[in-house]
Amino acid sequence: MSEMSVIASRGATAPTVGSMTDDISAITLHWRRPLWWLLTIAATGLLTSVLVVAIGWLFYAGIGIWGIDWPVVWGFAIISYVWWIAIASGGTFISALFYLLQVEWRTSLNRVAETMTLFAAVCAGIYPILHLGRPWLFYWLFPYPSTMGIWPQFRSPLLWDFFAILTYVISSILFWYLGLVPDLATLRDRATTRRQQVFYGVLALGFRGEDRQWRHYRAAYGVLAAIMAPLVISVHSIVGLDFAGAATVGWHSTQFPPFFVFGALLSGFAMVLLLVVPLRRLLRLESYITQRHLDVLSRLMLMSSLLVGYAYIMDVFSVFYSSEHVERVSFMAKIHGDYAPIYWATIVLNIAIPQLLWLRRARVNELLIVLVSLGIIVGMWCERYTIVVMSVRRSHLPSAWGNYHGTFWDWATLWGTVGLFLTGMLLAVRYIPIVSMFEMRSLLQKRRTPPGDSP
Amino acid sequence: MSPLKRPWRSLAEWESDPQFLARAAQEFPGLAEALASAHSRRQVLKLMAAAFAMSGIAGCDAGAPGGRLIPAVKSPPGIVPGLPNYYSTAHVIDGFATGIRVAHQMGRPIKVEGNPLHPASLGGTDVVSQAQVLEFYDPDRAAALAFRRHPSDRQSFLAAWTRQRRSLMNTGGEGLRILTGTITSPSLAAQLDAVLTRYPHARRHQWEPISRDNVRKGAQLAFGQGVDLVPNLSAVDVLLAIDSDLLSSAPGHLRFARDLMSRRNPTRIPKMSRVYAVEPTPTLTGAVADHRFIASPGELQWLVAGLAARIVRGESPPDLPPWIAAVSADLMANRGRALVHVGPDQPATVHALVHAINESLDARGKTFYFIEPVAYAADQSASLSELVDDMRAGSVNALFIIDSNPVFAAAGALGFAAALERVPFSVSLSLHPDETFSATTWSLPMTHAWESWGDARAFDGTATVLQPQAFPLYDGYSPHQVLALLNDADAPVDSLSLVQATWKTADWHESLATGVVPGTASKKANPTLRVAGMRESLSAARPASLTLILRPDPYIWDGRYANNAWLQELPRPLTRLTWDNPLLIAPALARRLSLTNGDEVRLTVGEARVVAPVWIQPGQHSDSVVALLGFGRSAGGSIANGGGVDYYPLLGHTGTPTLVKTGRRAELASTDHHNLILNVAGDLIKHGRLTDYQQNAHFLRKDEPPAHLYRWHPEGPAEWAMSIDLNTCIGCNACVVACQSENNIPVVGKQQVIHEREMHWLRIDRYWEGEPDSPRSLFQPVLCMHCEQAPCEVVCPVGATVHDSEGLNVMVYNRCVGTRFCSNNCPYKVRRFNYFAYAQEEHRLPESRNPDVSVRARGVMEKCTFCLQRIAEARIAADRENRPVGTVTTACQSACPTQAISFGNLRDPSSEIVRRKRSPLDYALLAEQNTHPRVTYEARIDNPNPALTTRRRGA
Amino acid sequence: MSPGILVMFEDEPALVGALERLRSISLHELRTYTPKPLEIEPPRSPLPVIVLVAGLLGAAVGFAMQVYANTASYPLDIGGRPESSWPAFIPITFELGVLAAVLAGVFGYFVINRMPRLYDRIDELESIREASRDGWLVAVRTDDPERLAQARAIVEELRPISIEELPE
Repeated sequence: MSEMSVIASRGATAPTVGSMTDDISAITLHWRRPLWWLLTIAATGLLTSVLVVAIGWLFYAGIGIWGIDWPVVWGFAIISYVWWIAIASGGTFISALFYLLQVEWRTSLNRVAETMTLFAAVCAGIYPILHLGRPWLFYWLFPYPSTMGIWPQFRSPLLWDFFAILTYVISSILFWYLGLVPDLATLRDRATTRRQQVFYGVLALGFRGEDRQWRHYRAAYGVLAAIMAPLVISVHSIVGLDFAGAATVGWHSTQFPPFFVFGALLSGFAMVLLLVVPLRRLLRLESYITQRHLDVLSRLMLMSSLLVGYAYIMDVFSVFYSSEHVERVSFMAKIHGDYAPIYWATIVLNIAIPQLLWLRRARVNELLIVLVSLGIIVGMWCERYTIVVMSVRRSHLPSAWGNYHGTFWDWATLWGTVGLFLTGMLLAVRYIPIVSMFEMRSLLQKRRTPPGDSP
Repeated sequence: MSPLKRPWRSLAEWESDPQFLARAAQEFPGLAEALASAHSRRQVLKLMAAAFAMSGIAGCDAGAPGGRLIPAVKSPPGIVPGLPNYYSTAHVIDGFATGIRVAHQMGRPIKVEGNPLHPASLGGTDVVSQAQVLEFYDPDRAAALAFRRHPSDRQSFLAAWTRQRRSLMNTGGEGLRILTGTITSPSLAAQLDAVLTRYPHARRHQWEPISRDNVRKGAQLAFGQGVDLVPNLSAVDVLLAIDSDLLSSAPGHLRFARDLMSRRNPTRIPKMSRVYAVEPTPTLTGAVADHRFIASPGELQWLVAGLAARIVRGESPPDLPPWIAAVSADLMANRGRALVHVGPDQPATVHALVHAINESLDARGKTFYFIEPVAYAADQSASLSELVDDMRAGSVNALFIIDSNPVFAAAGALGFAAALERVPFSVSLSLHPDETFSATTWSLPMTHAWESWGDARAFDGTATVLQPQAFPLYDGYSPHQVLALLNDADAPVDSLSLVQATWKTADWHESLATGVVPGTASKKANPTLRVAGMRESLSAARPASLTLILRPDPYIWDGRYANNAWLQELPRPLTRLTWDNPLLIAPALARRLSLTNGDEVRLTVGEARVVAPVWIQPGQHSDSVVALLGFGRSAGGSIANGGGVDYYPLLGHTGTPTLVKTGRRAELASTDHHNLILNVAGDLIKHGRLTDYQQNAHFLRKDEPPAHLYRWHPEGPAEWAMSIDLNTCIGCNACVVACQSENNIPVVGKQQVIHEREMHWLRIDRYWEGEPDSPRSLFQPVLCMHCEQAPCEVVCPVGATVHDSEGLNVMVYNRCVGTRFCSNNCPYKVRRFNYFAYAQEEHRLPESRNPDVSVRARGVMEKCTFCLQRIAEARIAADRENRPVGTVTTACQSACPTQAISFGNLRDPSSEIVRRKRSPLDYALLAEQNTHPRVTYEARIDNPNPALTTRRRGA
Repeated sequence: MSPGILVMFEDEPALVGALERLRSISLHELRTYTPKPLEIEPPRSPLPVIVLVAGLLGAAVGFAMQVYANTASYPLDIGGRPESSWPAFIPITFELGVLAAVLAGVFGYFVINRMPRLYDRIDELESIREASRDGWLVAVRTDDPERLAQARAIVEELRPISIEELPE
């Protein structure tokens, strides 16, 4: 059934290697300045400038402008950091993991996904620095030759995290760029204006599709994919260790590393769907990103939602299995305290609602998919809120119990990073081929033989 | 950011600031005239703006007349840079002295320590005397002389007074009145007498806002003569404290606390004492009691009457609560070793009854003794109302108000302020430009007690010579100087010679060095009890209506310390409230009126009414509403003004109070963010009963040795450790202020406390246990535990907090980047973070800080260091003399009046700390965390009466 | 540089066919330009080895650095933990290994292919632009005129889209 194949093959729209290349490169080379694009980038640009103001005021006034207090010394910065880095994972999973698994449908998605990873990782990367009490000293976390002969403290999960994020951001950028090179070459050759020729020509670094270039290319890309997959797992495990590594009530749990990986999967796929569904319509990519993709992604989202659900259940189990009194107190405060709505929102948005996706009808209903994904993105933020804030609120000594409320500047920073992320995506859509053309070519050739059913 | 930040003051503002102009007037004679015309005023100011800017608002003039500051070319002997010098003096409140020693660094007073030789201190200090450092350096102190709120100068005041004096001399001082606080100072008393002989018709009035009249009248009633009762609590086996202030504010309370608590730790003394408390609202005495009974003020009289009936006359009156029988039985069973003490709020009749009870308990000479009254006797409230009447009648021509603030603190019903306007010539002498200062015709700034010579007597009569600690910061008069003026305007006003004259006989230098004038304790008195006058009071009925209890705030007292930020931000022992004084109501009353913490009510007594928020106080009698005085100042200084509610207007009005909910809410800053009542605080604050302890001393120990993957002991020359005895801690907070003063801990202000960002390194946790209506309260000082396996260190990414070889968990401020992970990982949550540049924004002179402790920057974590600076000092001394490091006393330890805190080196087998760690009651907080804290606690043991233990605890 | 021709075929099979036959006559240089990797022989490349070595090296150096810092360079008592508490060093060791591997992989690729090489004489020919779309090109170079003619004959039989002279 053509509807569900990786590439729409209805006569009229059936793309060939050539037409596909022309379609995709036309998007960037013959940009039609669509109104939706101008409006959205105006809006997201505004949000980004809010971020700039928020950061400026933060550096001037100090992090006292945030809601953090005693004992809740971690707040929005850490919540949003974990949230963004989890979103970033989606791209890496699709582009690296499924590349290794030779999943053919990934081809038309991985460019969008990787680009998303890139900007999400950047947004995440900002937070750990803003979070510091003295941000201008962040470089003290580097093991650089200091005149005092002192080193960073390598036993701290925060330092592990610092190295993990550093590695992850750098690797993602390089992996993304390497995957981009052949398509940049295509654009260079299709370019009509001098500026385009220079721009893409330089970026393509002289890739011409030589046999030698291709041979090493496949080797390099394969190896890197094989590294990226464990890397992304390690990054989220280490983010989990930021909490599990502490002796804090509600954090000190061995299940956190896998738990955080599950969470990353869920929010990653959700964000990919959130971007892909509108983009395929707006950029007329229906013939490359088909219902089939939405269907597969929805199934993956459902799967990871079940994984996360399992983690939640284990969380409850370990609380009541352990004899720790405070663990119970803290947990009870989560499920019926003044912050309980946030906990239950987490459960509903991440576990309950996604169960709709068992129905095939739901999986092909684009509006529904968008809503579910949006719910998950919000739900995952709430999950991090319960983990970061609610645990510290209720620690061993009742005398050190406290409350927490985000301030205006907390929210401004959060929405600012959302703006930054979307602005990045919009610019990417404008200036780089949003579907990986050279990989599509292999796919289009395979299409001559009937396509495989499911991944 | 912090509300303490002082707004920048423009020239225009200066123009309207009498203090400023006054200072200007003194520096530029004739300025006052120029300023008189509004036209030329701006001119003048413009012209001299530069001069002002240079001289500065709180300029540094020589102070005392003729005094000069000369920079030391050769450093004076005994002053070694970096080493403190100690000068003994005393802190005087309501006339009574508590001996202190002031630590100086390079001549700057920076820290208060107790005076071990002084009977009222024995080395301990209370919160208020600790906070005197801030009081002394307070930038808001009265800085210059004013005439009708306009700047003036000494010359014009002297001129005016000389004119006034001539007429007074002719009339023999007709209409001359002098109002002072309670006076125990022999020198002042002598001067006053001299004044009265010089002006036969003059009269003196003595008055304190917080009256102890009932105590005096009670003795008068019982013995027909004034006597002071001095309890000897170390000899007391059974104490019944009736609404008592023994541990909080009674003159000599530090001494009483030491004596009483010295009998509370069964591991150190053969026989543990037993304490009963009966009170309408929780007090510190109630908190340490083995049995605490709740009774409304009305009921108290009725209960005491019943008690007297049982003990004095062996009757057994009907329908008394059953515990009375048990308590009186216990008291009588311990004749000669029992004592009943009653607080100053109870009427004289009750005091008289209690005297009778103590007599028949055969307690005199054993658990207490009588002495001749220490203070000059006067019926203070009567004395003041008399004065006000005369003022209103216009028969007062000249009024001197010396170090007293009646305009603010006199009972609202009196209408002192209105009456004062009818006095043609009134002079006030005040430390702060307070309400009275700005209401009198002439206002003189007073020198701080650390700026002039003086003397005062302790609760037992022992005298102390107050020696100045520094040249006056501002141009002020001492009370002695003013009285000298009264005597003879032309005589040289030299308080030193005045005081020396008083103590000719004593060894002057000895007295200064020890801080005690030897052999000055009051003579014992031996009055005989008058049985007459007992009967009528026995018929006291049992009223059941809402009663309003007006008490001084434990820290800012009657309001005089309201401008002291340390005291404002110090959590009140039981409510943990700071910066505010809501009405305290019982949970039952709150339920009845459906009120919650912070709800605003309109409180009406007679025709007086105030609007105030409420706070629910567990353990308070449901018929009582408690209002703490001293807040709501209008001219108390930039910190005091506008904070809290002024309840003085209610004072003196009669009628049953009514509460009406306004519907509005107020934000209250309590450091108690959880307000919950634990059924069992046992895991955190281990406590048990004496009987169990006697069966098995280790009955609180759960003896499973914690498992280890790896165990590492720091191998240093010393092992610093601390032990805190929960049996003797009375939750007085002296240690907290001592720590704040020693370690330059910033004050953050009400808003930041509401935001849960208080900075105290040492906090005293208060847990409620039991029923909300009558819980018991448990105190637990919590500071950095200096864990040998510290969780905080492992998670710091830059190694800003590490362990040193002597087992200290040290914090490297300069290395801290502020990830705050350490705080998350601290099970005890003792780390504090500088969210803003709190220290910078403090309203405080830099000179007042401890130079040995670095002031922390914005974005840096901080915490208790075990007073590292003091340890370092000891190390250096040890190295110099090439011997093992000696004893170190932390700030909290030395301040503690009951020696609950012990600190020392575990490597020194002879040390107190080693003994304490061997105590069978010794336990570590959250031991299961395997952090191996160097701070441990001694579990609290209670000694309940077997006859009552069947009943619910604390009922 | 030796003379030669640039031939463009319509699709991959045609190009592959041509290659087999051209291989039979030994030519000085035979190079393909294609929109996607050719499916024929599996990729042979030193890159995987390079990446592996770099990764192991990075990990080793990372671990060594942490041990050195905590034992030799600046030992501190951190929470009473042993100086070289190796389990705590594993995460950073792994991350540094990955970082080294990725850098080696990407930059290794560029070095091996002498990239960036923004200009090549072959760019002068129009048809090369098709190589990045749907054109399947092979460049043949040889100094021997007969062989060149032979090659030209072979490709002409396969009906290519275009045959161009390579610029000398």
